[in-house]
Amino acid sequence: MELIGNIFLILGLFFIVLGTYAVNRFRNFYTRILIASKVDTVGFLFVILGLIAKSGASFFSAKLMVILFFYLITNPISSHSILHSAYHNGFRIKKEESK
Amino acid sequence: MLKNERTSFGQSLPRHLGQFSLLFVLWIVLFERLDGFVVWTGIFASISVVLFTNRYLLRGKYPDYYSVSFSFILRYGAVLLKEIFFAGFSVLPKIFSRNVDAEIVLYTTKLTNPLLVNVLANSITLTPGTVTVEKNKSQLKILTFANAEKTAEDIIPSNLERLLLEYEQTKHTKTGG
Amino acid sequence: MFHYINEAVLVVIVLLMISAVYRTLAGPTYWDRLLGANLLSTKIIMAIALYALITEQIYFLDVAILYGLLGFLSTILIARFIERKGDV
Repeated sequence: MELIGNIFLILGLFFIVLGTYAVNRFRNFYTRILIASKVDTVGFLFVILGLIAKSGASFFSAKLMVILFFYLITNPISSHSILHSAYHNGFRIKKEESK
Repeated sequence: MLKNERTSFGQSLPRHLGQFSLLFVLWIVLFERLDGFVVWTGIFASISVVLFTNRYLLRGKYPDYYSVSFSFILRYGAVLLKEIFFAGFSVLPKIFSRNVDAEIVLYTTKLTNPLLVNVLANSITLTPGTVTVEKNKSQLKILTFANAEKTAEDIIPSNLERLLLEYEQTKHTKTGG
Repeated sequence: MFHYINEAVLVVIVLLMISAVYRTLAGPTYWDRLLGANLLSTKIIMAIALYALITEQIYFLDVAILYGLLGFLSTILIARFIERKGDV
């Protein structure tokens, strides 16, 4: 169980590092929001599942599950509202200029 | 829509029990212990919250619109988690490729129930690589990576939509249309 | 080999937070800044959860729950505020 938790933690960290790298690499807002917040979702999921696997069946992991549940409900709504706000203010989709 | 049609207490008892157990489990998890004080205050607080909410805050026949069965949530959550994992791996090569563009795709689902369309839109946002921009009845505007080979049907997580369609049909037959 | 893995992951997440803060400060448009703030709040939740596991204090998780809810609310409010050009 400890080993599974460690593997999940490292996998999640891998996703988060890639997501943060992508946010600073892309030059266009739309590709940025597509990659960044999404890769981050997978990373968050892996990290919290790893922590649940490490702490076993206890109140600690029950609370972590509450956090995960809230996050899975609220995260799509917040990224949707950012995108909706950008799209309706006439921020058009541009081509990603190649460097 | 907001007519004050109140169902009798006996009819709404199973629904109240579901809400009560959800709140009670949340109360115990937040307190981190299981003794007499926590259990009795939890029962009291949960019952009063359920009764107050149903009596004063919610009007109309909301359970017909906003009820989803518990077994369906479990099944849907399992499929959703699997979908998120695989979609996450499929986004990875995009990070290192050079010319990545975004575009907007229109997609019309066969779902008609507003709640289930919303669930589908949120699931699309949650799976990596796609974000829902706008929803108008059954039509969704989806932001995704520009890719000439893929059609709109490939982008949608199709087994999630199939699950929702099945559930919508059972819901219709149960409530009689 | 895996003795200090929690601490190592915590350190890396804190380093990544600097990058999210950079995106918040430098982003050319408002929405880039909002996206950076959203990423920062996600990373803070993860860091608090890891810190709670390292120190074995459960009550830090309450802080994490509160932080998640507040971050969600502030993101939605600011996005609506910008969308309606100053009218919530």
